[in-house]
Amino acid sequence: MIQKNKNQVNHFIIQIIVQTMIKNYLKIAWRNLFRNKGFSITNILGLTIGITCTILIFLWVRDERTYDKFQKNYDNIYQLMANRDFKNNIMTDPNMVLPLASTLEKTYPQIKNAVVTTQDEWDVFSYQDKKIKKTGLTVGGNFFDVFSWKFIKGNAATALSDPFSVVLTESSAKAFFGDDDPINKVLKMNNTTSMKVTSVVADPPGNSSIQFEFIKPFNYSDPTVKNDMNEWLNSSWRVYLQVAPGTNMAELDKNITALKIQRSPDDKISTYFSFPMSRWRLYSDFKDGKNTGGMIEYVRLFTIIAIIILLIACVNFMNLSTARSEKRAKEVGVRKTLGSDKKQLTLQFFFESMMIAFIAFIFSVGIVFLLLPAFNSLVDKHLFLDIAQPYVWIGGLVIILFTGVVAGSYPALYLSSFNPIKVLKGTFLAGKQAVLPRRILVVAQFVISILLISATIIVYQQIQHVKKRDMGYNADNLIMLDSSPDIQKNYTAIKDELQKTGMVNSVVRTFSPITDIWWKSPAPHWDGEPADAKIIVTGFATDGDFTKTLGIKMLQGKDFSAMPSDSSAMMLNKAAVEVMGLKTPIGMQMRYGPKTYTVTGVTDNVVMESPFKPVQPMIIFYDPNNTNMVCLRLNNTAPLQKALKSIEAVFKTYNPSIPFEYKFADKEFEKKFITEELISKLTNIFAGLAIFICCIGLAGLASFTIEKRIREIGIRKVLGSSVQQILLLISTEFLKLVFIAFVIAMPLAWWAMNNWLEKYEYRIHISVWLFALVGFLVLLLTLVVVSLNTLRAATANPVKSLRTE
Amino acid sequence: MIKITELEKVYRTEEVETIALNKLTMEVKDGEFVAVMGPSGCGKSTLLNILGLLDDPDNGSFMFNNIEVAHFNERKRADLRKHNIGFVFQSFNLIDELTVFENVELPLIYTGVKAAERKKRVEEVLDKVQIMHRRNHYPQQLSGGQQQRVAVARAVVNHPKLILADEPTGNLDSHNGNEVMELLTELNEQGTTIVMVTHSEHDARYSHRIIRMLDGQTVTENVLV
Repeated sequence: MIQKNKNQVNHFIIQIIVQTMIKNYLKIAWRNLFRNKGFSITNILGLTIGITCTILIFLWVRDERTYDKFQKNYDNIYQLMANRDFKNNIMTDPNMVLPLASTLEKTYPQIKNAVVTTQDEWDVFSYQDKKIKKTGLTVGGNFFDVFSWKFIKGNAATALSDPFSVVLTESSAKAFFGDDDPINKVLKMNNTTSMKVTSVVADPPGNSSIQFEFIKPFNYSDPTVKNDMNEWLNSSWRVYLQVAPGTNMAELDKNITALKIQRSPDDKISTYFSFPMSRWRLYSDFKDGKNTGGMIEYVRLFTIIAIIILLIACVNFMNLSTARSEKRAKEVGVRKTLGSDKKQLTLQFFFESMMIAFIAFIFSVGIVFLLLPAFNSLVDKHLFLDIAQPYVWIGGLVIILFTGVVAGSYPALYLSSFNPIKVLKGTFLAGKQAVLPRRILVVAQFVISILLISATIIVYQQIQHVKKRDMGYNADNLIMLDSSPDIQKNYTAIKDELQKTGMVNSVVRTFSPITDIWWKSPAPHWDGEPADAKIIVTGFATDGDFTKTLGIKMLQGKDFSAMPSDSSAMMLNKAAVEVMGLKTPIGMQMRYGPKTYTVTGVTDNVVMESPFKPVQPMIIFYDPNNTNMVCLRLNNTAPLQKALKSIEAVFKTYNPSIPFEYKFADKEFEKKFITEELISKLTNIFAGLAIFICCIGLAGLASFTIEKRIREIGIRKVLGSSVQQILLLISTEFLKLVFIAFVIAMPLAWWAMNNWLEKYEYRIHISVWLFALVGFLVLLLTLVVVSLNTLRAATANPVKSLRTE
Repeated sequence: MIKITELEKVYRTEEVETIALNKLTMEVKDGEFVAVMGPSGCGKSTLLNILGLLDDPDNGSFMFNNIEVAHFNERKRADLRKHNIGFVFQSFNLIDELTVFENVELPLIYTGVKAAERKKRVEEVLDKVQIMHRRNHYPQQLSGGQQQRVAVARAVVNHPKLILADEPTGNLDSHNGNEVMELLTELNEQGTTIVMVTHSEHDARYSHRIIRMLDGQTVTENVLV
C-alpha cells in the first residue's frame, strides 16, 4: 500500500517535472523567437515558402494519384485494349466492336458486367428556345452498374431503361431548365428525336477519367445499331469490364483474344488485354504494345521537387542556426553546468525548430488558401484544401514533424555537444567546426537551384523550338467547324455564299481537323514494293481547294481539281514518298482496299499530330462525302468579329439545327503543348522559389559571416582597403561555393535534361552556352545578394568595429 | 606635419551629447615623437582617430602636410591614409586567418605594390622587428610581444610619414612593452613622426613631448628633450 502510494507520488513528481520542463522549453523557444527577430523572420520566411510549395505540389500530386478512386468498383474495372501488330510496329488502341461487350458478359462468368460506350460524341439538344451542343456518351444499359456516379435526381436502376431517355449532369440540367425540376422534361436531340430526362447526376469530378455532360442508352431497335451489333470488324467503341474479385486477368485476356479471332477470322493482328482502372490516368502511354508510363513521370518528378524545396528551406534553418551558434554557446554552457544533460538540450533545440516549423506551417496554410485559385487556373484543376478531411491534418502533421526534425536535427545535435568549460572560458570558437558542413549544405542548395534553373530554361527552349517548327500549313486565320448532314447537302451553296461575303478567302472540307489524325492504316500496295515493307500510313480525305485553303505547299504534281475523275486520284506527303522509297511518284498506281489510285501530287509534310514527332507518311484521297470538318481561310484584312458574324449568318441559313461553333486552328495547335506548358510553368515557379529560398539563406549566412569578420573588415579598412575590395573579399567566399555547385550541377543537369529530351523525336540539343548563362546568372545573383548584405559593413566607419574590441 | 586649430567633435546619442574635442589646438612637427596622456574619456582616442583620418571633425581645421583635410570625403581620406599613416593598436588587430607575412603584406596590397617588391619589403621589415623566423605562423601562435612587433612591422611596411600608436604596450608585460617602445624610438630616430596615446608615464618618457588632455582640451605640454 505504502509502496503503491510512493509510486504514485513518484509518478506525480515526474509528471510535474516533465510539465515544467516542457513549459520551460516553450518559454525559451518563444523568447528566442522574438529576441532574434532577423533570424526568426529569415527562417520562417524560407520555411513558409518551402511548405507552401510542398502543400501545393502535394495537392496536385494527390489529385493525380486519386484519379477514378471514387469509383466503388475501382479495383475491378478494366478497359479492354488491343495491340495491333503491324509486323514490327505494334500500336495500341481502345477501339472495340459493338457486340463484343454483351458477348463477353454472356460467355465468361468471371465478368460481372461488360459495358460498351461510344467515344466522346456531341449532340445538339434543344428545349424551348435553348439550343446547346453537349458532349456525352451513348452507353450500354449496365453503365451505371459498373461506374458509380452520384445521383441527384432519379436512380441508376431506371435511368436508362427507355432507349429515348437521357441522363444529364447537374450543370447540363441547369443550362436547360434553370432551377426547374428536369425529371420527365423532354429534350429534342439533333432536331429529330425526343429524349426524356430520367435522372440527374453530379458533374463527374475533375479527377475522373470518364467525363460527360449527358448519358444516353443505345437504341438497339435503331437499324444502324442493329447492323453494328452484327459487325465484328469495324471497331470504334469502348468496352469496360467489371470482373469478379480475384479473377485471373492474364487468362481472361487470352480467352478474349481467342473469342475475337473466332468471331472475326480476318483480323489476324489484334491481341486484347485488360487495362486496369488504376493505370488509366498515370500510365496511359504505350510503345510497341508495352505500357511505358505517362503522367506518372511528372507526378514522381514533382513529388521529388516538393521534398527538395522543403529540404532547401530546412537547410537554411540548419545553416543559420549553426552560424549563430556562438550566441547560443553560452546558454548551452550555463545550462550544462546547471545540470542539463545532452538529451534535454537536444530536446530543447528540437522544440525551437518545431515551433518555427509550426508557425511557418500556419502561414503556409493561409497562403495556400490565397494562392489556390491562381494555382488551379495554372494547372487547370479544382484543387482545394478540405480541412474536414483527415488526410489534410495528417499531412500537415507530417510536414511539421518532417520540417522540424530535419531542420532541427543538425543544430540540435551540434549545439548540445558543446563543451561547457571551453564555452564559458571563452576559448571555444563556436561556429568554426560547423563551417565545412555548412559549406557543403550551401553547395547542395545551389546544385539544386542550378539544376532547376537549367531545367526551366531547357523546357522553355524545347517548347519554343517546337512551336517555331515549320508546321507545313498556315494556322493563322484558319477556322474549323464540324460538318453535318445539312452542311454536306448544301455545301456548294454554303461555299458560294461564304465567298460572296468577302470575309473568306477559300473553303475546304476535310476528313479530320488539320490538328488531328483520325485515320491510320497499312500503306497501299504498289509495283516494286519491297516484300518486307511494313508501313503504317495516316489517311486524309478532302475536296477541292485543299492546299490553297490550308496553305500547304505542293512539291510535285497538282492539287485535286475537284473533278469527278479525282476520285481515283491520290496524293502523298513527302514523308510517304521517302518511306516508300518512290523515285518518281507522280503517275504511280497505288492499290488500297478494293480500288486502284493514281498518284497525282506530292504535298509537303504537315504536322497534324504531335509536333514533337516526325511527320508520318500520309495518303490523301479526293472524297468529299467522307469528310467531317469544314475549314475556312479568313480574309486577313477583314475585322475578325465582323467576319465571324457574316460566316455565322451563312451557316445559320443552311445548317439551322446546329449551333454555330468553330475552332481556331492556331488555338487547337496550342493545345498540343498542354503538358509541356504545364511542366514549363511549374518548373518556372518552383525553380524561382527554390532560388529565392537559397538567396534568403545566402543573405542570412552572409550577414553572419560579416558579423564574425567585422573586426577584420575594420582592420582592412584602416590599412587602406576600399569598399569594393571588402565586397569582393566577402563575396569570394560565397562565389567559390557557387562555383563548386555549378561544376557539380552542370553534368547532372545535362544528363537529366538530355534524358527528358530523349522522349521527343523533334528536339533541341543542349548548348554549352546555356550553362555558361546559368552559371553567370547564379554568380551574379550571389554577388548581388552578398554585396547588399556586406555593403553596410563595408561602408561603416572602421573605428566603430575596432572600438568594440 | 600636423597642425590642428580649434577642432571640435561631438558625439550624439538619443539621450546624451558628449563633447569629445572642445576647440582643441595642437601641432606636431616632422620627426617628432609625441605622447598624448589623460584620463579615460578625455578625448585621446577621438583625437587619434581624427589624426588617423578615420573620423572627421565637426568643426575646426586640420592641416596634414600643409593640406586642409578636415572636410575630405571618405575616399580621399582613405587614399591619404594608406600612403602616409601607419597604425599600432593596443589589441594588435592582426587578422587571425592570415599568417604573419600576409598580415604585414596587406597594406602593400592596398597601395598596389607589385608582388616581388612586396616580398622584398615585407622580409626587410620582418627582419627589422626580428620576427622573420615566424613569418609563416598565425597570430594566435605568437606571444603578445611578438604579435605587437608584427603589428608595428605592418604599420611601417609602407614607409609612412606618421605612425599613430594607441596604447601600444597596454596588453604587454613590461619586458615586451619596453621592446616595443625601443622599436618605436628606433623608427622615430630614422625619421618617422610618431603620435602615441598612453596611460603609462614610463612609456611617455620615450617621447619628446607629452600633451596632457582633459575634457577635450589640452591642459599642459611637457617638453622632455
